[in-house]
Amino acid sequence: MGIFFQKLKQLIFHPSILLFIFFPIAATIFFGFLFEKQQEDLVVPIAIIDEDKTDVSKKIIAEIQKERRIVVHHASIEQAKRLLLRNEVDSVFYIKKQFKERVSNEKWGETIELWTSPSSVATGVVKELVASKIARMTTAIKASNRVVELTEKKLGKLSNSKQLWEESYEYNDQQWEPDPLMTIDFAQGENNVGKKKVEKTAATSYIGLWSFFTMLACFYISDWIVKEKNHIFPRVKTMSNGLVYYLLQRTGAIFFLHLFQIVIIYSLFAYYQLEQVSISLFLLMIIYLIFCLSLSVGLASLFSHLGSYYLTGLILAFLIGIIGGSFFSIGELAHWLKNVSSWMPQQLFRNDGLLSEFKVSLLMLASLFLWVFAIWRLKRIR
Amino acid sequence: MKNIGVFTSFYMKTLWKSKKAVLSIFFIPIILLAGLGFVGTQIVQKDSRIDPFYVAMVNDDPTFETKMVIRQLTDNESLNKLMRTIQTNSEKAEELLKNNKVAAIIHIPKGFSSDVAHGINTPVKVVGNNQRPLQSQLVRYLMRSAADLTSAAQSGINTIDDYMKKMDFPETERKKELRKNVVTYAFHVLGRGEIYQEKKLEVLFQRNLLQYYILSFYALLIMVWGYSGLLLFSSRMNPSVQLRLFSVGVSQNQIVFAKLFTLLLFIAPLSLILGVPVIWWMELEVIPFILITLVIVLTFVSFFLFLEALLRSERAYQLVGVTFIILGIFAGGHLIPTIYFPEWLEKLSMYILNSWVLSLILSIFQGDWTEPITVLLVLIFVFIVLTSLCLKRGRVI
Repeated sequence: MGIFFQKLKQLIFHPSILLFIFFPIAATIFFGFLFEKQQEDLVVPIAIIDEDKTDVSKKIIAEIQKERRIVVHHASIEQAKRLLLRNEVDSVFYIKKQFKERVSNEKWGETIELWTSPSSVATGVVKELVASKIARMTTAIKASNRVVELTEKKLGKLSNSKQLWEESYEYNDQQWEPDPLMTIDFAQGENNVGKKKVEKTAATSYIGLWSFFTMLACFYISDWIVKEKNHIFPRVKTMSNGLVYYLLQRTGAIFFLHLFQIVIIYSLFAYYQLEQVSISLFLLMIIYLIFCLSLSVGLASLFSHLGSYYLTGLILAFLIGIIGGSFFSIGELAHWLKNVSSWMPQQLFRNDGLLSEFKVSLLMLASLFLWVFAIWRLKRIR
Repeated sequence: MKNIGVFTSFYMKTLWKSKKAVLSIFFIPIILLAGLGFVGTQIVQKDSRIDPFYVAMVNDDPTFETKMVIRQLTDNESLNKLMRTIQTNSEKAEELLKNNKVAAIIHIPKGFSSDVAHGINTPVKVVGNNQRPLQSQLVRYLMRSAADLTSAAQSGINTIDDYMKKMDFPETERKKELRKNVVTYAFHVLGRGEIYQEKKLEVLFQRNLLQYYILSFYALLIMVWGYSGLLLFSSRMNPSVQLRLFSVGVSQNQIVFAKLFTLLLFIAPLSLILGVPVIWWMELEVIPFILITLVIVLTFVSFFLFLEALLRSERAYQLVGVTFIILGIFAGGHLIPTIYFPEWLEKLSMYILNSWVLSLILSIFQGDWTEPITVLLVLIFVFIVLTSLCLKRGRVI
């Protein structure tokens, strides 16, 4: 145990090493916050050409502008074309002349030109949204027309039909206040009554980012194996079981410090409700850490040049991170990707029902294998 | 100048000697990014490639009105490519959600239709699957539009009915009108697509999303190469050799320039080899593309040289370098074009190297290249000067 305490002391009093161990915390919180904000606030820029310039078209535009996720650029035909071709807007809504007149006569077909370009992506959703705003007006108009029609049928031609029309339009509009007749109550998570709903909109989870940065940090911190391989290991090997103890105790010291890191990030998750925490999550994080350390030891045993080791570690961390779903859940894109993804170590945190005790044991087994492999490799060095 | 030449050839030889490392460093990122690009195109070509996802629909109020609400979601061709609905009861729906079989549950509560007819707001509950955040958000937005459309239809129906009540229309006539209106307004909002006359604007040199991502990954690849290329030089020349070299009059600056030239000579041809199919496929102009590539290589190499000189510790360089790469990918617009960024992020992206590099490489379509190229040339100059200053400071200490 001597080496363990010695190394622990060395690591603690070596601030640059501590930096590496606590790097996952800082990076997870920083990028987690950034991505969450980014995904929450993503906007769709559209351009609107208003050739009608009546109260109806203006009101519709005002309604669209109220939407948090839509940024409206007012433009002329030429400007709008330029904006779309330079990909500065996703799509263009061109409200044509006589829009009000045609809508008032309940002839709303093809009253708006919708321009898209090959790079438009959000048109489908925006189109539905704009249609819903317009439908609010057209149904009010339609209903008001009908009210006047029915009243005139009953009472004969009215002198104040315009007033009645406006009154019923107003009445129709009031049904949208304070809330529309139908709203949706959106919750993300399990549908249990009484259970606290955590509304999260980001596709990137904090735990996912943590898994990537922890793996990366493990690769960097295990570089001592590459450095000492040719100078110190041959000497350590002269003692019985020297190499195995040396490797285990030094990695143990790193593991111990990373445990601290896990405790801190776990507390942050719990305190700021960034993730749904549970004891099993804590244990899974430790299992994940063991795997990362084993992987980095296994990889380090293969290299003798530091630069190549760092780079391979980096690439591996990215590869496993992307496929495993550290950044976004790749399984949503296609079924086969989901299958591949379910065999990555990040699966421990995805809780999508594909995690089984079998996979956890397999991961532990893989860690053990990596250790055996590393020791076998390192023992061969003369 | 002679020294720079000597060192450049020294570094070239170093790279040549470590062929295995060089090959892996240059080819693994290509494979990695090609994989990412593949995923990207999967996202872009949503309609054809992505399996449609399922949404569980629990209708506890099976009336004509609620069936119409459901039709809003199921009778739409473009939506059908994206999602399918499964009608089920609430226990089964929860089980489906728990087992990650559906992206969301839409739950229409009992008494929904009569509440709506009486002007009472009864929210429809939508529960998203937190294992599928993207899909459940999509369901959320589509449901909001569907809810607004239903509100629109219902408000029209209510207005007429309430006025008829007020005007003392006979009950039978009122009921008849109501039944008729339920159908009329339902079809009115179902026909919402008619208001649009869709036009696809296409001109010569118009880029599409696939082209955007290809150029975005091309630039990203150069960034990764610049970062990793420098790592190849690490520990090739140990500090004692360096000290001896300085004592015979070699300056730090000469070594920096030698590294810069070596990487330029290495990365630029490789990038251009990759660029050949890109130029050919997108029918780009060759000379501007070559010049732009050179500027991008210089930008990233000089940036990473500066970072290395500033941090001095190799591991710190790596961590900070990776952080910049990740920041560049997300905030520079490599994955999501910056036009979709919220205002604060768009401002932030002004300070990110990648967004300037991207706007330079994309300028090949629009010809508006003066601003990004000026910014990048100034930055290259600043990085080189700063690198030299950092190294001077290092020597004094």
